[in-house]
Formats: sequence, structure tokens, C-alpha cells
Amino acid sequence: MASKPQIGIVGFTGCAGCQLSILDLENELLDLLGLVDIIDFRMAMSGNKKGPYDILFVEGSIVNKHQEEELKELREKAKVLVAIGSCASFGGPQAIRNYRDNKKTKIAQYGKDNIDKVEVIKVKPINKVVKVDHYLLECPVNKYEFLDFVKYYLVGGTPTLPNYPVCQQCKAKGNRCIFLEDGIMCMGPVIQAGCDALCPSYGMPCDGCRGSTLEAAYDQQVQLMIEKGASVEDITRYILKYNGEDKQVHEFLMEKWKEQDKKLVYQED
Amino acid sequence: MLSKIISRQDLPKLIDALTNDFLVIAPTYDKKVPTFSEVESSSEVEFDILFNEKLPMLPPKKVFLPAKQTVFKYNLIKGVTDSCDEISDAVTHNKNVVIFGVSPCDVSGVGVLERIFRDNYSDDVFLRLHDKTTIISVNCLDHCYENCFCETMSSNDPKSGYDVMLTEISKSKLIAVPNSDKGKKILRDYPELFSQISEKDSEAYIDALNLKNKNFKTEFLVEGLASHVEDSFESEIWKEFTEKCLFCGSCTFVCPTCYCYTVKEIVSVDLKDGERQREWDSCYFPEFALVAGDHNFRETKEQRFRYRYLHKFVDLPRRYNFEGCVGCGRCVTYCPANIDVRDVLKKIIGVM
Amino acid sequence: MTASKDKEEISTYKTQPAEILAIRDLTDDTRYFKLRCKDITMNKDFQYRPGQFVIFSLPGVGEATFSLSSTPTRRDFIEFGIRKVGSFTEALFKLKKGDTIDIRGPYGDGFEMEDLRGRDLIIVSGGLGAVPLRSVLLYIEDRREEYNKVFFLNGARSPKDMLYKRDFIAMNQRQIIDTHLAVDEDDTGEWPYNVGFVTQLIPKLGELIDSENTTAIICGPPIMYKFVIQELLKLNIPKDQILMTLERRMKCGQGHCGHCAVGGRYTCLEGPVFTYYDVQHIKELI
Repeated sequence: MASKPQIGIVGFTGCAGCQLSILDLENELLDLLGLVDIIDFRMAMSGNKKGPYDILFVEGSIVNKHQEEELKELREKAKVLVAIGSCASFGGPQAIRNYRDNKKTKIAQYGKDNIDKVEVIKVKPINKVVKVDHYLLECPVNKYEFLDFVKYYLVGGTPTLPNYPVCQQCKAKGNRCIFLEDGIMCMGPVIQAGCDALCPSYGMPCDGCRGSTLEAAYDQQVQLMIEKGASVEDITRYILKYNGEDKQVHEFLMEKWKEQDKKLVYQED
Repeated sequence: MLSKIISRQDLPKLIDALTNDFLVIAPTYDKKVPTFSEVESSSEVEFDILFNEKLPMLPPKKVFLPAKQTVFKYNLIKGVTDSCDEISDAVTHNKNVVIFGVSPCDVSGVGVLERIFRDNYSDDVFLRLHDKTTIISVNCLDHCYENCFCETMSSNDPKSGYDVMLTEISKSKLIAVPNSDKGKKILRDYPELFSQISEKDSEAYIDALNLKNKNFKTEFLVEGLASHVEDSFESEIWKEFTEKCLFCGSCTFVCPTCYCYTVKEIVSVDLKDGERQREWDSCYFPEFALVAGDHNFRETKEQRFRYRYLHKFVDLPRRYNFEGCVGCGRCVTYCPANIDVRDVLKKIIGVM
Repeated sequence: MTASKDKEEISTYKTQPAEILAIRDLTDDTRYFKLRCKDITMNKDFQYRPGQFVIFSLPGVGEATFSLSSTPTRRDFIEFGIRKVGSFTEALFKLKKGDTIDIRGPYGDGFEMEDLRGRDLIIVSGGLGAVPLRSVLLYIEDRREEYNKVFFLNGARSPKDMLYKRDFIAMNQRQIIDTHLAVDEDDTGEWPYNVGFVTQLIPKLGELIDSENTTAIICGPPIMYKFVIQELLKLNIPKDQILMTLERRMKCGQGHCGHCAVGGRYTCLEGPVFTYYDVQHIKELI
């Protein structure tokens, strides 16, 4: 390797949990620093440089014009731009507001008198603003997936994410199927694997933080949830929790589920 | 073959004795899930899984073809190594292995996998594990639970694939029938646990086998199934079930005969070492038949749903003369969408 | 070629290192790779037939399958034509002359070139199909006297996408093989050959061949097969004399991973070369 790749890790609207997650790579962090130069990581260090980056990791979603401009500038300085976590990839929990009456949400959030003072546009995953080369999923981002990406980049390839549902990893680990056997509302069948079935392994339902798997069977999933007694509101909540701007979620909600849940109103730009 | 008698209360002693000499894998519960796991003493073995009509969720496949398996390890030098290491760590167990309590249908399932992995280029990784394993089967005298249809798939009386078969001939006694040198060795090596067979035991064994014969019923006829499935290529039945299916792949992972895998790469953080792994794949996943340039040979969900049946009930019988199904019913038990393989087949045959 | 003896000797996934002797751009996204096994004895043992394939292994990146484009009649090196389409090829394209790559194989059932002696041949290629068919063409070139009339129809999307263009034109000029080149679209305006699909070139061969004594060999994108086969059948070429090489996802090359199985056959074992007669009833094959 002639010179070490220059890496940046930046955050927009989100909880900064992804950046924290990367810092949490305690055992591997020193090895990682032997492979790359982290030149911009405002959460962790001072003396940050604003590019140019070989790889720029972006956390968080875009919620106002100012952020849009900043992200566009960053994109120009980055050879490879990677979205990390649910917010950057699919909008995150805050994208729920895209499906609610914007004015009402603003009043609830900022008070009646202040709604015009706050410039909140629609919540956008970063791919609605700039070209994204790769996605690293989970909430917060899977630190090992982050590490894998860096390793693969250095070896010369790009890692492929597992394009299959969480059920694969649940079965691989020999987990009890809480969706089938206990009637717990687990989103595993429609959600992209890669987390090693973290939540179901502890008896908790998958709540979908990795986004839809390829060709996710939302129709069938929702049908089963109804049979298991979930209400319309609950189902909307389960589906919308992290992935409001996931294409498949959006299509399912607006083309099919809207007939059931009349409260869904999508805010166009 | 010299069959012997073992008393039911000596089974724990047998397992304890085996753990001294083998790595023993037996049915246990792991967080309420019946499963095959490595045990260190008989106290960990759940005999009620064996004798109270339950099948471990994952079949013995998980021993030979686990969800993730290292194929080989290597060293990385500047991205490309001069040579790949020999398969070194593929055999993770240094001891020989005993799998205790394998049901007859699962014995048949292992047989299917063995044939597939021995055929053509024999697969070292699978066979090294398989060949150092002794399989002690526990016979079924009746359908073990409502989803079992082993008689239909004629898998409950395997003629090979096991080393010892234990059959209950009374509440307190089992007959141990060896079926290989490995099996004979077990009977020979633990003489204090096995006793000579008496005239009465022989009669009880015949009675038990007769009872087994009487108890097992076929649900539908498998003769001609391949043609039925093939002729139903354009049938509406596939669509009907495709509309229910989640395509989560659970059925393929719990299946004792589903063997498809994909290959992936693991690299250490210092980029010096790595390993190539194979990992369970499923024909129900969209990218299974995808090739470079984004052409997908099975683009629709209906094609994928149908393909699994074509492969199990047409392709495998034509190639190997056995179905890719042993009737264990796991895919029925663990399908979150409640799809029953028997319903699909019955509708195809036209008896439902 | 590979007798069963060879198969036994190849242990699962065992690779051998090969040196990259040359790399050259064929088109914007496709490159020529010339390799030689580092172990000279292995090199001699590396016997193959046109149509067979090799699995490349890049530690840290993975494995991928590539058709041989060289001919076994020219020894001591093997050649490939590889398009950059994914993460493996992306990494492969970063390698340079002199680097090493691990390979295993050859796998699959190739063309039985000896069985085609004395026959008229129609070789139809589309896009990347030219890679394995180059192997066939070079083989014929080296043993030209063994074959009767040989026609080669090669199609590509546009002039700049055509692989081995100069080689094929030279082959035609040397009057070794009657070569017809076609592009779907001529964006240069200077393409002196055919514009349109290769299928359109087939009917006019009717008068030139002896149908009963003709074998057709096809390789191209999946969409091409149906139309080409239709045209060939119109020329009364026997179904068992239409040979085609088919593509499938493959992970092992040894009939175990299940990805390439279709209609009870493994593309990696019984294929990739099939006769149309053998597979005409197999669904979802093409």
C-alpha cells in the first residue's frame, strides 16, 4: 500500500450512535489505525481536515437545506461515499414524520408560534441528495460491517451485504422462532440479515433496523401479523420504525397499506 | 451382525462412556429449542426428545454442513498469496464424533447429503467430518408427531447410513443392532453395558418391527410424483402457495437434505490472515440464480417456489434415484407462513 | 480430456498459483488475461477442451468462474477475456503483469472437438460469448484441415464493444474462417460490416452448408439463444448438432453447492456445453 487511505466519519441528523459504535471497536481500533488515516472524525478527535477523503462515512439523515448543501460539498471531496446506519440509509426513526401531517408535527414539536421559524424539510436519507456508493446497515451501524468494508476496500474488493432475511441467521443459530411459536411481532422475515439475528437471539423481536431484504414479502408478513392480532396502528409502527424512506416500505405503505391506515399522509417535497 | 441388548437405564452410562472417547453430540434443549449439541455428560441429554416424539429443530446436517464452515485458511501477502494453505482447520474436531439419537428419517437425510457430497468431485470438507462420525440411531415405532410423513417418503427404515440402531423392545430394554465396523466397535468397546440377546428379546424385537410396520401409514403415493410435479409446471398451484410464502428460507435451513451453500471470505483486521467459508444459501433467495450482468434465471418468486419442488421431487430422483425429502416435517413445523409441503404435493397429485 | 483419474487428484478447493503473463484491454470494460501455472508440471497437466472454465481465487475477495478463451492446441499458457461487472472483477482488474492469482479447474464438460471433424460448422457468438468461442476458433485454426466449411457469426452491441475484433478480421482475411461481424447499433457511422442482430445473418448460410453435416455452436447472452436456435432449426440443422454453452451462478464447480442445478443437471458438471436436443425440454434453462 503506497499511502494509507484518508478516511472521514461525519454525522448529520441522528443520535451519533453510529460514530460511537465505531469508537467502540476498542480491540480492533489500533489495527484499523495501522491501515488507514482517519483525517476527519469530529466526535473523536480535534484537528480535523475537511477532505479530500478516500472513503467518507456519513451518519444521519438530511433534514434541512443547509445540511443538503454541506453534504453535496462533502461528496465532491470523497472518492467513495458510504452511508452508515438506518438514518443515512433509510431515513431512520425521524422519517416517520414524512408520513404524518407536517404542520401538526411541527406544532407538537416547536409550538404553534414557532412553526415558521424552523426550516425542517422532509427527512431524507442521504441518497436522495447525493450519490451513495455503499451502505452499511443497522442501528447503530454494525461495527464489524464497518470494519469489513475498510478491509475489503484495502484488499481491492467491495463486500456484499447478505441479501437474505434475518430468518437465515436465526435458523443458523438455532433460535426459537418467536414469530411463529410465541406470536411475537418479529419483522425478521422481511428484514435484511447481517446482524447475526441479534435481537431474536435474546428473545426480542426483530424490529427492522437493517431495512428491507431484497423482494421483501410485506404483504405476507402483514397478513400473518394481522392473524396474530396486531392492530392497524401497530403494524404501521412496526413497518415504519426505521425504514420510512426504504423504497419497498414506501411502496407497500402508500400503495397497499394506506387503505387500511387512513392516517398515512406522505409529504411530497 | 451381532446384536446386543442395552437396558434403558444404562443409556446415560453409555453416553458418559462415549464422552470419554468421542466428541458426543446428542439431543438437548437450547433456550427451549430441541437441538443436537455437543454434550459432556449424560445429564445434559434430553432423553424425552428421543422418546417423546420430538425432532431437534436442526437436523444432523448441522454437524457436517453447518451454517458456516471454514473451507480453508490462508495468508495474505500484498493481496494475493503465493499459495493457499492446505485445508488445515476444516476438521475442527480432533476426536472422532458420535451423534447419538438420530431418528431414522435423519439417517436417510444424512445419506442423501453423503451421496451428493461424495459424488463427482468428492468434497473433503464434508466427508472428513462425515467419515469420522459414528451415528447411533434411535428407531421410531410410530409417527413421532403430526407433521411426520416419513413413511410416505420411505425414509423410516434406512438400510444404511447408521452405525448402530437402537430399537425399544420393552419399556426397559433396547436392542442395539450394529450396521458397520464403527457400530460393532461401539458394542465391543463397552461390554459392561451390552448383554447377550435372549430368545425372548428376539421375539420382542420382531414384535416391535411388526408394530412399526402396522403403525406407519402413507399419506399419499410417491410413485409417479416426479411426473406429477413436472407436469404441473404451469399449474396455478404454485401461484397459490407463492402468495402465502414469506421467502424467508426457514424451510431450506431446517431441511435435512437441502445442501446448497454460498462461499464467502473473512479477512483479519491486520489484513494478514483470512479464511474462506461456506454458508447456507437458499434457492428461495432472489440472488440464488443471479449471474454476472444481472441476469436472473429465476426472476419471479413463483419460479423460486416451484424450483425447490422441482429440485427435490424431480431432479434429485432422476439423478440419484431418491427424493430430496425424508418426510421429517420440519419445514412444516418451522414455516412462519404455515405452508405444508404435503398440501402442495397432494394438490399436485390431485388428492386434495 | 480430464479422465476420472484427474478428478480424484484435485482435492476440494485446492488451487494452484498462476502468474499473470500479460494483461490487455479488449474493450472499455473487458480485459485479456494470459496466465501460466507457476508449477511447470502442473502446467503440463492442465489439459482442457474449448468450452471449459476455471475458477479464480483471490484471497480476501473470493472466487469467480471464467471461461477459457485459449486453445489447448497452444500449450504453456491459458487465456481469458474478463468483463468487469462486480466486486471480484473489480479486484481482479487491479492486478498487474507479474502478479499471481490462484486458480482451480478446469471444470465442466467442454466441446468434443474431435467429434466435429469433417463437419461444416456455424459458430454464433454474442457479446461475451466470443470468449469461450475464441477457444473453439483458435482450435479450428490450428487444425483447419480437420474441419469442412467454418462460418463464424459474431455480434456485439456496438463496434467498441466487440471483443477480439482485429483477431477475427485477420482470421477472415487469412481465409481460414468465413467470419461475419455484426453490431446491434453503429454509433460510429464507420462500421464497414453488418448492422443488426447476428440472427439475421443465419438464413443466408442455408445455401452454403450441408445441413445434415453441420454442427452449430452458440454462446451469448441468455436472450440470444431462443432466436438463434429458431433460425438454425429453419436451416434443418439436427437438434443434437446444436451445441450451446450456458451460463449459471456457480460457487464450487464440483456439483455440490446447488447453484447451477437445473432440470437434474449441474451446469458445472454436465455443462456448460449442452446440445439443444438434450435440454429442449428443460424449463428455466435459458
